[in-house]
Amino acid sequence: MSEVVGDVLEEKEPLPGDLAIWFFIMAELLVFGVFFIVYVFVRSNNLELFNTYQLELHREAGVINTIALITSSYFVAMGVHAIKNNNIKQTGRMLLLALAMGFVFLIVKIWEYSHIFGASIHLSTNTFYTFYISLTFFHFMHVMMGMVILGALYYYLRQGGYSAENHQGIETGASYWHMVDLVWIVLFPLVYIIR
Amino acid sequence: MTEARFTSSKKLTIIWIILIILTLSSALVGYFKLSGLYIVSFVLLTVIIKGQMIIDYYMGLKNVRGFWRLAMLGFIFVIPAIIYTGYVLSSSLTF
Repeated sequence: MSEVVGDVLEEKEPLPGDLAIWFFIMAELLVFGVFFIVYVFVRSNNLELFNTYQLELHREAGVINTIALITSSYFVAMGVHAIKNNNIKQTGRMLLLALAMGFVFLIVKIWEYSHIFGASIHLSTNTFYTFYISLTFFHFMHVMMGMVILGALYYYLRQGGYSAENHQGIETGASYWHMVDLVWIVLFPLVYIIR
Repeated sequence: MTEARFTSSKKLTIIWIILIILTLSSALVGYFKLSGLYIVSFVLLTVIIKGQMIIDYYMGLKNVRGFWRLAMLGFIFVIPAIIYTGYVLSSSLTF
């Protein structure tokens, strides 16, 4: 019986999802990793500037977005769990809730950008904002892509494309979404919190 | 089967609660505008714990042996370590 679901097995398990997505995830993490390292290096040469302008950011918006992405990841993980138990309705509900959290992230981020651009701040205002805008916007695009993937998963689920026996597609999309969350977990404290 | 299912979803929920608590602890650091190496260490430690939980339980790599889990964990350990080193090397931090 497929009790693999219940975290009962402690022995080796296969990689979730399609192997190709893991190469893609590694490539994405490498790009973000380099971005983070360059940020730290440039910051060390512009300490006062970074510390000053970091305080102008909306930290509360960053916290809301972190909670939104973590909660979204939770719903996706619950969705994967549900499909492994062949609970199609529950999987659909979880994917929709994950998408809703993704929308919360986008709305808060757009609100943040509108404040920044409304204050005539742009990419070339100073080095800090160059990093802030480019890093967060690059991540923002990944969130949008992740939401398209979640939407496609929901569509194919409704078409009867997934079941307990055939859920690799959901695992693949879920892995990408968790990667988006993982990147934000580093990005948020780096840009908004630590100084 | 019901038992296994319940345990697993319950575990995912407990992990979500821990992730939220860790996020709120970092939020407090931001709210009080705290700075210094102890604070940086604390926040980066929460990043590592959160990342490890997402990789192992949400991505489902806990029982996956070999390259991929190590590579993912490598990201969440190495990047905060480099960030920390960068902050240590920065001159104006107060300990």
